Amino acid sequence: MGNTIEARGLRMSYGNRVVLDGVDLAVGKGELVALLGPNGAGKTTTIELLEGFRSPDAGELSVLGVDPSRGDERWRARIGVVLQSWRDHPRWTVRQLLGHMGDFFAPFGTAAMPRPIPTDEVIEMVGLAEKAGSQIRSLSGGQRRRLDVAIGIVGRPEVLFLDEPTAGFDPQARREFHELIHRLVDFEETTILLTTHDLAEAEVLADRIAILDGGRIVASGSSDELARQVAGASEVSWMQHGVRHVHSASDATAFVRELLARDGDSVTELRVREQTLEDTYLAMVARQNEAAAHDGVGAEEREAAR
Amino acid sequence: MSAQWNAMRLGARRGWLEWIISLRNPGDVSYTIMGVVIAGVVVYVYRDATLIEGSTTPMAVYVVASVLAVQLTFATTYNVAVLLSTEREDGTLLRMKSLPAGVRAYTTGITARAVLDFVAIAAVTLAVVVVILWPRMPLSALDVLILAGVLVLGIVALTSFGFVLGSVFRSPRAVGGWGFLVIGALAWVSGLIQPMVSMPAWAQVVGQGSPLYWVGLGIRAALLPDEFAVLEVGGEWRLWLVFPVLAAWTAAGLLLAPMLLSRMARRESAASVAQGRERALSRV
Repeated sequence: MGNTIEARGLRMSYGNRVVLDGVDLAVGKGELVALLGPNGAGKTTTIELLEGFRSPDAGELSVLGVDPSRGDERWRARIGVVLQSWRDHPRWTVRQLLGHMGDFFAPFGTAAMPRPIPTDEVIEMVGLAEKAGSQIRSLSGGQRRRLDVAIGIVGRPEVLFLDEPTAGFDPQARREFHELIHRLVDFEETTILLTTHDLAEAEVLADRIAILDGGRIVASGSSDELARQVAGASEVSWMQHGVRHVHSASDATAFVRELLARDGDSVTELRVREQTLEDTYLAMVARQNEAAAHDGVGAEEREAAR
Repeated sequence: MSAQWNAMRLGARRGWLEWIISLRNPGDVSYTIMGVVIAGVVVYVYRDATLIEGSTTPMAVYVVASVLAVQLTFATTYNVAVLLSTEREDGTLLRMKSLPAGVRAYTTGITARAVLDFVAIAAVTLAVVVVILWPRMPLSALDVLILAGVLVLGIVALTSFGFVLGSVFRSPRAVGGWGFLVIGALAWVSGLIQPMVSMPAWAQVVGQGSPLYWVGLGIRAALLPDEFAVLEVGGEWRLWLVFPVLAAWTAAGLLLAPMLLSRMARRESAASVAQGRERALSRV
């Protein structure tokens, strides 16, 4: 199989609530793909299926050529998982925990691919050098998340999964995190799949964005491609006889040509605004929020925990 | 070196590290010291009290046997159950699940820590008791052997039931609170607070169904001279029954715990951790 990550026809429901309804996804080696979608779109479920933490109701999955739900320890050693930690290992120091986590990968190292990354090196990579001897409970939110990333990469993974890595970050921490991810992609040939609900973040980080909505991938491509794919309609507005008119047109040029030919003299203040990827995405988020308000918020999480 | 062996080795190291970390924690240490001090005070108070007419062994030794059994239960069943439910909620288990053979290392680590906790508190308690009672707690080589055998079986059986309880019950607050009461009630019904023969008949029946009773009986058989056997059901130590019963409990625990643990670990996901977090924070 050519792709490092491949999913076909992924289906998953919790009770009678369908979360994934035929997800297809392919990520090539060394690619960084962002799975973008509003809260509750099924991003976490998708990534947990790929991590082998859950089994799908239907569909085919392959990560590094292996079905994740049948992945053995050898496979697991090639996967990096960045979790959103909360308060585990509070009394361990950063160095203690990273040393301990790294030791699990030692039997899987080879001369060509030494595992794990030496503890102090990985601490340096995520910029926690001055906190190396501190207890984990003393770290700030941003530092904790960098520790999460360090744990995810200490085994020198070939595939790295990150679920909402920057949730709750301030802009400064967010920028530092983006720099860290870029460094990872540049140094190693790591294949990365991350989830986010933030379009701007996906645009900054990813080679490719896959938009997940209503349990399906509704669009996928680079942000330029997506803008063309998703956008489509433009908004044309003008004043005529003291009244403002607004029209949504798929071919704005043709519409304007016709409008001006018909009654060009009375049209003033003509404006054509291209509908952006952001507009489309925000509409998607609004629709999802409405549905969530209907279902009761957090229904997916409650079901998922069963 | 296989991943599983590496995981066992790392688990042992993990347990050791957690134990060392807990030794530096004033809360954990004062909890242990308080346990030893209370045991020491009770033994000191009863150092000259006689339970059996004509015996040179004071009632204090009877108390020591109960103290050891209770310490064993708390260090293994109770602590393991509380730790497991706590660390499911805070994401430790999910973190370990993301590592190759991580769950095996995790359970090995908890077991190692429980054993270290018990050995430490039992050793300090016994040292204090020997100093207070010297030379009135004579132990033969056979007694020591019996004691060691009962404790080893007891540790394995009660630790595995800690895993069973911790994987069945989700809320660390419920396990901590109710578990404390349940173990207290079980300790009483198992004849660790007062001799079983002085208890109502129904309690004697229930108590003999509890592994705690057999652990306590075995420890008493090792520490107490034979004239104390009149306080036991049937007027004898029943060692021929103690070991098979404890072995059966051990086998049941070793059979049940891995099954429930792997089922629990399989279900562990980011969503369930997020839910636990929400539940915990809503209580603050």
